[in-house]
Amino acid sequence: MAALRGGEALLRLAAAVFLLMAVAMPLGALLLQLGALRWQELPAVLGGAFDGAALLNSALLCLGVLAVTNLFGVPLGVALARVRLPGWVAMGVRLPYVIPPYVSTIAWIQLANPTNGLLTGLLPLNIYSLWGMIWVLGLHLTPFVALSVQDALNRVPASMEEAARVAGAGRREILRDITLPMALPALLASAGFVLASAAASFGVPYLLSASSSSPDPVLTTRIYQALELSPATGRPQAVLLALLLLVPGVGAPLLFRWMQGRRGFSVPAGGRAVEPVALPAAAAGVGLYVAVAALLPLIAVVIGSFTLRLGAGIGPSNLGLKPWIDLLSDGRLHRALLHSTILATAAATAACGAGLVLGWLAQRRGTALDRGIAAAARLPFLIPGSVLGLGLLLCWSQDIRFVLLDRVSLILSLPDTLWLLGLAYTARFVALPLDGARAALQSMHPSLEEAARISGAGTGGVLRDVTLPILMPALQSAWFLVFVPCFCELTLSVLLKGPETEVLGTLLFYLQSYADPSAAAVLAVLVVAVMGIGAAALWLAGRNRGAT
Amino acid sequence: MSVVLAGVTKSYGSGAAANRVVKGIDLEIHDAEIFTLLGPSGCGKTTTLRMIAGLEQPDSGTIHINGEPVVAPGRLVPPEQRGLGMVFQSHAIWPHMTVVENVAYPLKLRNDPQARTKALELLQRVGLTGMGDRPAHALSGGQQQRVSLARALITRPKVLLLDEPLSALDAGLRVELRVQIAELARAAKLSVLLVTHDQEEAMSISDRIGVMNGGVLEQVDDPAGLYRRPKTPFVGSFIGHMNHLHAVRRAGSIYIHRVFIRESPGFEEPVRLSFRPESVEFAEVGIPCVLRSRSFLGAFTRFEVSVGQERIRIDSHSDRASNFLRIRECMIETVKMPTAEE
Amino acid sequence: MLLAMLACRVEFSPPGQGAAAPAGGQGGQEIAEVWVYTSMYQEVIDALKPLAEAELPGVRLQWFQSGSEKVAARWEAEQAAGGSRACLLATSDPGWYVDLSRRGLLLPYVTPKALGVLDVNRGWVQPDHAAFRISLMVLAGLSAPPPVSGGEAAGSIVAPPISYALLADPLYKDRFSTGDPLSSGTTFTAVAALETALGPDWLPGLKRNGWVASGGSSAVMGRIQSGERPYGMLLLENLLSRPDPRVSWAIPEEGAVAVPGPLAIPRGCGEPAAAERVYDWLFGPSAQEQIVAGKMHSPLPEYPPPAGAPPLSEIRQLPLPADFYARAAAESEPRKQRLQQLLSGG
Repeated sequence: MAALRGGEALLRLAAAVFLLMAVAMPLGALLLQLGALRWQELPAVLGGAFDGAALLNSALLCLGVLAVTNLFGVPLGVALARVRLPGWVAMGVRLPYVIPPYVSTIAWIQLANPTNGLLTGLLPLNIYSLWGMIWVLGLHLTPFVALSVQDALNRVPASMEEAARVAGAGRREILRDITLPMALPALLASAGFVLASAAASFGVPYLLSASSSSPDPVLTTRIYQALELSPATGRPQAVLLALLLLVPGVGAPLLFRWMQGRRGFSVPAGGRAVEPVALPAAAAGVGLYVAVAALLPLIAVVIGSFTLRLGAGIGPSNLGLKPWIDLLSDGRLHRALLHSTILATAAATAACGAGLVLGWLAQRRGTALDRGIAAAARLPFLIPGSVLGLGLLLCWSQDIRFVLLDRVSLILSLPDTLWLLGLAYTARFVALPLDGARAALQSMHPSLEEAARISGAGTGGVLRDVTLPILMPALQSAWFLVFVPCFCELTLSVLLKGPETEVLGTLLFYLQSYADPSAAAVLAVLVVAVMGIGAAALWLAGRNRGAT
Repeated sequence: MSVVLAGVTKSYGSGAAANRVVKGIDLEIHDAEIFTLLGPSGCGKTTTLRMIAGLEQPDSGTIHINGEPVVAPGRLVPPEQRGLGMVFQSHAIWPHMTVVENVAYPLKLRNDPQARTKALELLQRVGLTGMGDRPAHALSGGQQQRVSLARALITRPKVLLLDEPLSALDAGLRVELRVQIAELARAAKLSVLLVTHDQEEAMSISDRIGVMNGGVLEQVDDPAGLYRRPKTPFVGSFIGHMNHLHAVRRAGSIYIHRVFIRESPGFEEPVRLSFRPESVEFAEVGIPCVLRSRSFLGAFTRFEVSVGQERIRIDSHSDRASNFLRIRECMIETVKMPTAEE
Repeated sequence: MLLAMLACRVEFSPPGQGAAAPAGGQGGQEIAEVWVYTSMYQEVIDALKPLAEAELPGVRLQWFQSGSEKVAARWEAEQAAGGSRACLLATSDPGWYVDLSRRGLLLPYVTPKALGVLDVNRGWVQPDHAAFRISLMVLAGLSAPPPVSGGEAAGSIVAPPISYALLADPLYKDRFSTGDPLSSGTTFTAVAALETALGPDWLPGLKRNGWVASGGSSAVMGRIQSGERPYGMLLLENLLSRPDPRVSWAIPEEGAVAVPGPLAIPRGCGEPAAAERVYDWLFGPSAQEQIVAGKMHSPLPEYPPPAGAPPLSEIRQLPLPADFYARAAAESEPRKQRLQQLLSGG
């Protein structure tokens, strides 16, 4: 059978090679670190690694972020789908996601630090605590939930709500009894992403907890600390803690699938969409979210980028273009911008390709092997970047030489290349297009592909001519979801970059930590601008597609 | 023979939980024949069609198409190499292509430089003149199904598979399209395998019909043969309306409410009579009945009457009713008595 | 898979023979590639690059720059994977070099130039590693800090601390910060030295006083400038490279902690001869001048101090036992764990 389906065999081979290089080998190398332990050392390492407070805080962080994202995201999603909004407001909802969390954290420290933040006192929480982490991460991830809800609601045919209205339901009852239950599957899917992102987030908890005199530790900061110890004790601890992080990442989707299975339904697609209504109060609410989650931190960063001397006030004497001129003429910026653009584009594209293939195999073939492979490909997203980076280093820091026929040496030379960074980014984020592709395939009728088979197309042809074009909208959003974190990626890059492969994330970190916070602010503004433009372009493209 | 199935079986799942959906089917579809697999949903008819298409893999058995083995021990030809045309229940029109792109796609895969021209010609023949450049998803259901039909025919396949092609359409359109499908198929001397649960559709266009139930092919015959000589009660009740009345056999004769029906040698036991609405008529004497409703349907009049606790239907050319019935023709089957163990 | 194919380099040579030849060895002249793993500032590296090209014919320098702890993490991971290509290690965590030395992972090499390193600091030159740059951990603060908001001293304006010990004084409660000793090599070294000199009560005193330990010196500087934490302990080079008239600094009464930035050739270096040339060169005039231009002190007496700082010989230094680095390296692991517990405790 395999021999007859050549295209599929090739896909399986490609998937296997990718999985081996990007997932199985690095994760295997990490697990081998545990194998180096002697039995009698195990209790000590376990004891050193286990930290009840960090475990509890990580759990609270996950749940808190889930609560915040849903508290804001569900009303936002309903508003996006059901209320007539000015274009810039609808667009602006995406902004908090495109501000790298590293940048928004620094901005929130400026805005709300307990000593002299601009908003201290207005925000009733200590930004340097667990609450601060929940706040910053929650605002950052809210657009994901909002857009999922919006997408789900846009698919609900108008007749469903009209039937409820005829049955005597008011607008509020319709929302509560009809509309929101329809969005439940989308909400559960987005909850999985939110939980995994919150559990594996490092930058936000690190920056906030480190600035506190009584920090709230979480698992990722404990892992970071473990990696600071000597390799012999630190690495097994870090790996053990990273395994703990897999629990929410692997468990949540299973739990949600079980919940969905119990009261499972699929929303019938098609039919007329619901007409949005004019509701100024809701529009104002969306505007308020955009203002608080995006504009406030952005303003702080923009002011920072024109500040000549930190902390010397916002007077005309202390503002100037010098930070901008200095950074824009810096060759490092040009190189990093080029590298990050190439890498983020390539990694997002590769992740979408791999996600499509793996998702297709899992969804359409559905053998235990295919589903297992798809599950394995999600793992790198669930562990902190520093641990994944360590695994990749353990595998790929050497040239690998294949000798053919005693004469030709094929040398796979990944270290210090953009290839290695690209592989790392792709491995880390392939989970996003994978999940997206699986969800989209679920709602795409298999007969569309079968018709192409009957027409004479092989597996490759079916994917190219039918599946890919139909999944394009889903893959485009997934592409953007990958591009955003890759464009400013730090934790993997800081370990894997080479002398010629400086990227924006490491440059931003360098400027902020060693050189000039004003220059870092300039870079942050540039990054947000690039991604804001990208998000706007995608949004416009999506709107035009929707209009035809 | 265009399509030959021998001993084809298919199960989903494995072990004790295995669900055997096709339990050994032998079937031959002749050249230029319209053959219909008819049965209720879940009877295995669609699975059978999909195994012929290559979209499902049989657990055992062989399938030949145009004399070539496509499923045989050690051989499994993928769907794209079976040279079939197929129309899906859901139309399966690719929403990202225009109408003509949908239809021309199979030819494009075969690198036919005239793909577009041929597709436009065919669209004309299925009644979609001038719609070639519309986006496919903007068409109505009936138009989409015509596109789907044109796409299935564009490569001039010898065998056309139709999987409930009309069930998503409204009644008038269904009749119109099935006539058109039959005309196109006959003109091109196609072998057609139609899968449907709609017996009227099956009866109206098929040369032969196979009735499936519970994964088994119960009877294969031409429409008239199926109607007149159903081999099993299931076939009888599935094709056309079938009345049922409980009766008893005593001393070699059948009685209902102590009224003699006909002679029938056998054990003394309860039996069930099955008969068509037109095989029963009102009479001066016979089985007592009470008239419940009468509807005038033009060519005939339909009566609903009750006999004891049971209800039956009578189609009669006369619109007059009486209080007694006479059954002209019927099938007799034994009614299993529930035993103590059950 | 395609990516992997494209990343491959193909060599037409029998294995074993051509394998060791450098890839870029065209035209007969062989060029040795020397990888430097360092935590030196990017600006200093950028200044060194053209100089090295001109003054070290036959050597091509490749730099991997990151924080001390990231460099160490990467080198150790590469080592675990079968060996690193690094030929020179130049980070700012002296304890790591003592540890590497003890594990036998450094090549013994002493450049003749290192013998001139200041007498008082003999500990800076070892048989297999030597300090080629010196960073000073000093105290700094806003010259006009916001008045104290609570307690007995409410309303009064407190001058920046003049001794490390004072950081534990209630006057500075919740008003000072340092770098993160767990992620910044220089901060860790300084904390180890100060714990040795000031006794075991100092660190818990800091903790009680609202110690914030985060980032590196630049983060401490940021918190001073913004007034969030108006005093702090940080490297002199940060103060000198971004001078701010509002911020004053002092050599603490106990003497400044001098953090040596060692240079070493790790075993496994494929080009030891070239590495030694680079080693010598980094101790030579052009590199040392760039180190001074980067606001660090040269360990060699013949170079002037960075602009704005007194020469090393005139700076009071925290007296440390001769075996301090050896002992600090041996105690590094328990100290880190102790610091983790102390810092993450509520």
